[in-house]
Amino acid sequence: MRSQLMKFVVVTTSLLFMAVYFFMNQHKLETLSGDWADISTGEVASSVQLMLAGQPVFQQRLKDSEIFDKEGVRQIYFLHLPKGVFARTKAEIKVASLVIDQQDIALSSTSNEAALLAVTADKRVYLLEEGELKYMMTVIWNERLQAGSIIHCVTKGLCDSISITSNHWGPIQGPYLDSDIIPGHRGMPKGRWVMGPRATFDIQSGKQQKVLVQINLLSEFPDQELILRGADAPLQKANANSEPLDAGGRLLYPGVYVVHLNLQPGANKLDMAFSKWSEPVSKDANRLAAYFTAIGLKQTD
Amino acid sequence: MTGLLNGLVFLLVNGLVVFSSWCLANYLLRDNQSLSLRVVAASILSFVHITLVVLLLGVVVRYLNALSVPILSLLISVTVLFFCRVYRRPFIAPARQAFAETFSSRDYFLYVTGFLFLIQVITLLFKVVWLPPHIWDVFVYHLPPAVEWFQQGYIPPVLDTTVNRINGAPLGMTVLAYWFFIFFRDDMLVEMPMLLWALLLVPVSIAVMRQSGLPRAWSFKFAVLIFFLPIVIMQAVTVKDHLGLNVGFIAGLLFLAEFLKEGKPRLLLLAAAAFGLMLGYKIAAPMHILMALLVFSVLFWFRQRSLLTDRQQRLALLKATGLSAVIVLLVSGYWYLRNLLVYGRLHGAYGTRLSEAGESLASDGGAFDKALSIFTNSGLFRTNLTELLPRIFDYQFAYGADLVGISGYGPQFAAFGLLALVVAIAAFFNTRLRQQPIFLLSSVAVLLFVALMFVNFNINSYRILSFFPMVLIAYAGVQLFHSEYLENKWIRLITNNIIVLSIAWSLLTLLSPHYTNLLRLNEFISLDRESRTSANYTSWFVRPRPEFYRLMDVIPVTEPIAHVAYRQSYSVGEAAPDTWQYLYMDKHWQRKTYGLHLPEYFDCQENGHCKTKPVLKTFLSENKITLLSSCKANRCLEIEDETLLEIVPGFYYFLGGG
Repeated sequence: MRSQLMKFVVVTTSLLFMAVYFFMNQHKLETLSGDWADISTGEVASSVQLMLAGQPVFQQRLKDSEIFDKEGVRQIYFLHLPKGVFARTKAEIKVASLVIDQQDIALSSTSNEAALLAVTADKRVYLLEEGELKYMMTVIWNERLQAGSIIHCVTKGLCDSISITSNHWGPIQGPYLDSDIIPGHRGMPKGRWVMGPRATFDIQSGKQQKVLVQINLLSEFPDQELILRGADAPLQKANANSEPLDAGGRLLYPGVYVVHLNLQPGANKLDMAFSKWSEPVSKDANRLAAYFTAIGLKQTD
Repeated sequence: MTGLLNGLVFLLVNGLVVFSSWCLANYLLRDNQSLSLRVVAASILSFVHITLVVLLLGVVVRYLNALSVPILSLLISVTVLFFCRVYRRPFIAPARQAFAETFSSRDYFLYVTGFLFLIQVITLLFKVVWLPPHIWDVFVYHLPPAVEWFQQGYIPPVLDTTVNRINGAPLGMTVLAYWFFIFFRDDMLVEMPMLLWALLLVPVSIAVMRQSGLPRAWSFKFAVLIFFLPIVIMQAVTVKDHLGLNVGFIAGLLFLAEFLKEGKPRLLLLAAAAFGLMLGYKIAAPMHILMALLVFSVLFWFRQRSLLTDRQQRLALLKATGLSAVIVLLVSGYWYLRNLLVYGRLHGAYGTRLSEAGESLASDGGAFDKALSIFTNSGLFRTNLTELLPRIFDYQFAYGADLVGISGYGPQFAAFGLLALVVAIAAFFNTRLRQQPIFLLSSVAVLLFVALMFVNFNINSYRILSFFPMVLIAYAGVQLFHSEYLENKWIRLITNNIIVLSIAWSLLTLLSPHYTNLLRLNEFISLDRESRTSANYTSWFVRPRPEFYRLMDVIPVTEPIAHVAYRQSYSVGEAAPDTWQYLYMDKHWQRKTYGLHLPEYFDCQENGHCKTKPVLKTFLSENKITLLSSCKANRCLEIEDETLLEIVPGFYYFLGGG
């Protein structure tokens, strides 16, 4: 009888401990299902084939590049070809093409002839000779250098006389791939987060001039409103019916605002008030109101 | 064609290593019929063979390469085979017989266990071959020395590095990694040693339980259950050393227990081989062995002291003991001798500080001194005790090979190990339980666990305690059998279900790879082999990795890279003061890297902004280096210098190089 009781106690305790373990670790099953969802969402690497007169001479798998061109539109890739293949392709460039995931793309030579180039709507692929480093580094550096701003001037030379600074916007970031390791970055275009509820911009102008400013932004809030202080004219909202962008783990609603400004020589202060902003998730986080993707400037006088 | 030839050489050399070790194991265990014990012995001797070949060529002959390694190994194998030819015994027939006997019963749980084991082995093999090295410590100090040995063609006593562990830790597991690299000159198999140690755990566990009388089928099921410990599965695909340390330790104890049972001094040689290997893996190993020898001596006195009364037996014992010491010295002595000769202490550069000029300045005590002083302070013990239950139930953090904040003991330890612990403690006071061969293992496991709780605490410390669940689950199996619990139909059913459920839990929850961006896993797996590098795979480790690591595979391997290295953290927010040197490597270890000791070359502020010193440019120009990384691990410095173009954050192109 005592032995039976002992067995019962041992088995029950054992099962109890195991049940406690599973109960305490049930979140690992959620992690598991999240992991498998991520794995099944991921895509295989692109396949690239270099064709010369219809014959494949080189092939490689291409992983998604995190290097973008200055516009943040095309991903930049580099392929190193064996010396013989590179020379032959260069010599027979008219019959050469690059097949990326079954899409046939013609090749051209770069201006300094250091590389061959294939351009698609979302990719720019440089074909380099084996061992070539300097040109590759120059391309990346150059694109990054020119990508350093979201301000674009339609009128030639205008950007030389105008600069915009603010303590209320974050650094330029993006574009990011859909597969970025940080969920908040996934699919985000190039841009700068602007803090709410109010942001002040200093516009330095070299002279007195009238400009049309167009602000392209994304906001978490479909009914986000911007009020501008310090300008002669009110801020006007355009294309309110654009499709939202699913990026960074949230829906972002695009908005385009235009305003006419009469800039005076020197500093011009512009106060922007947002109707909505996100509450900070941690002590170090900011109140994010909108993600500025572009500021376009056009002289109007 | 070269790949095929390399494959054939690999199979031939390793086949002969295993075969000669099998013959030697049969010689040493010539009176023993246990197949599992002979498999364990042969495996241990194979590891010893490999270790000795690489150390002899790397340290003594100083001619370590893809030619010398197979040649010396073949010579040793042939010599061993010549001397042990009389003791050749078949493996296939007894293995088939053991297999048939094990699986002859209509035990469906056994079939399921066997099937899941097979699936897990295939999965682990896939991860080893297809996925690259991917653990923090591996990037920092497990693999970089192997790269240096390969590039230099020998094993220098001291490597020029700011990572102290490289010049203080015994690098026995790195030796094995080198072996698995050199045949193909490719890092695809460098994680194989840890997988082999994990697999060795199965015959080791079977041998331990069979030694104490557990039937074959139950031994197999419990052995597979032990293999499925999360702590084992997680580390089986790394180049770390804890599995070697812990499985080697249990193997050593197994042979000591067999000696206590049989009284054959030859068994001490096998124990010495196992202990030698584990001493070569971890600076903490001496404490394990001291504890083992302490308990062993007491049990020896009670069980085998008659060996001391007869002169001949005493002499045989003395000879075996002396030879055992020689074996230990040969297998692992180099690392400790190096430390003594170069640094004047057993733990070498461990625990040293670096001066501004990069010289090793002073000791902060090191592992041994620290161990002694800490025994007088119960603070660590209290902390460990407080954390014991949450850790054992694994729920504080996610599973990961670094075992941050968890034990990795799995549901099997909760179900079997905790109760076995109670019996293991009771066994100290029970004569019947003390008579069981497994008592040596259980008592050492309990005492060592408690001892280590006094001296060892960090967020990852349960890696070193892997022996504890391994031994206690085996102990649970033995006690369930001897207490005749397993004769009860319901208890048998419940036990079987717990085993299968625990195995299934580990299989499922540890299936998905770690430390990578799973959204890009399909992409990574489908890449060409050359691109399946650690730099492309690693997406985070505590924090997301800098983006430039992903550029590594498009940078020609002929281009050397200089990188910042510093023993201390250099800026606020840095995850740890380590250097991820391995991420600059291609799969064939062709690229030359140069570690730049931070204070020598840069003036840095706390926020990570740095200016260069003139000596940097001289160094880069002289060594024809154009690429400079300012990232040690996750965090990168911002360098201001007009001759250094920032290509991407943390990665610079030097205009004056090349």
